Amino acid sequence: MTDRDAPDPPPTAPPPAAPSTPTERARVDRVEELLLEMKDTSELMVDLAYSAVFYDSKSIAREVQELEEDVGEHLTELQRLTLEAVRDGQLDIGHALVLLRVAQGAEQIADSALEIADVVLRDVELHPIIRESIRESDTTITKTTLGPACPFVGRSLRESELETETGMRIIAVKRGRKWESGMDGDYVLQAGDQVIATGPWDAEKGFLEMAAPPEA
Amino acid sequence: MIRWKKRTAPYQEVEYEPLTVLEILTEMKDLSELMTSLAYSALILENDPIGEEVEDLARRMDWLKYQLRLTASLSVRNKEEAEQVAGILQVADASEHIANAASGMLDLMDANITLRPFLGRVLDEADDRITTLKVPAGSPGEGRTLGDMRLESETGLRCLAMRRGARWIYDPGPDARVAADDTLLLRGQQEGASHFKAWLKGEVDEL
Repeated sequence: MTDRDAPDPPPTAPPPAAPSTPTERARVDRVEELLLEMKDTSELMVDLAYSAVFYDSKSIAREVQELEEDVGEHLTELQRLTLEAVRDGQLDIGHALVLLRVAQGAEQIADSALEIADVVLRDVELHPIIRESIRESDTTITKTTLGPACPFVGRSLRESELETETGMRIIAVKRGRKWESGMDGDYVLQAGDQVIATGPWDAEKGFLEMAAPPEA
Repeated sequence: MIRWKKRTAPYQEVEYEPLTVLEILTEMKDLSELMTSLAYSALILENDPIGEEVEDLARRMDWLKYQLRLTASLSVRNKEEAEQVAGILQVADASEHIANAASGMLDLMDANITLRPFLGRVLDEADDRITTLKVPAGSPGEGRTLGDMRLESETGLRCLAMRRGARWIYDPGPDARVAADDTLLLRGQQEGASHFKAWLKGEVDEL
């Protein structure tokens, strides 16, 4: 209880349009961080949305819905910070335009992902052709449960280099009742986790074998 | 000064071609994903030819969507089928919207070039990195196909495009053969790219 109780500094008239926080660099850094996150999230959402359709899973579709809300919030924050940064001379107008345009694109991709997931959420009848088209496409989707002897459990995704080893990428994990997504390199998989992975056709078999190897 | 790029696609009479709904839907999904990857690559690498390819693919996408409407309309005989087709069209629309968003991001491509290097720095921190690798002469990769190298499953890298001379080959399939001096545009994690680079140079034996 020290700083808070200290008397306020004597009031000086601050210039009206000079916010002290976030600091100049921090604001631009935050904009860049938001853009990167929007890009990654929007691409993940597309994979998840197709998975939701493929497995006719409302739970995955709802995850897409939640992520879409995050992306919307990120876009609003990014737009505000970008405009503030331009106003305060921290960001060039040309750079700002590019940032806003790319962020908008990412948000539109996220919206489209939700449009796909919406088919599942609204119980639109799924013609078997939709499922088949996802199956036939360049990138396949597969679901499995990790066995105790799986070399990828108990280590972070970064350590196990799952993606490099198998060519497949984990896009969602179900531990308990809910599908979760957005695992980073620190995420540690556990035996019994259900996982959904995407990747090329020829990687699927090897991935499934490593995910649930026969117990010794 | 920013010059906004004008996109004026020539209007063309579209003829009906009897593709199956499955073929169209599959290609639309593949295209939407390829176009997104290429659009980000074009922004990161400041590569105009890739940007132009995205525009061409956008036209292919339009065409596919039109074909799908025709084919789907022809197939509907009753209300139940109409409901099922509505779902198919919604997924197809979404694929097209993804493609539109991807090509929309490139509207600034011919803006003042000094704008762009910063974007590469920002976006290249993403989980998946875009890398270009040149195949040296005498490389173990020479003459091999993407499929028989099992590039994606061995390294996690996806080959988005190959450049041979002045020509780009987009979304090469497993039968695409790598030649000396090809430049490969790859997407994937850094470890995979480093390993593949070492292998191409003959520094490691196993891919």
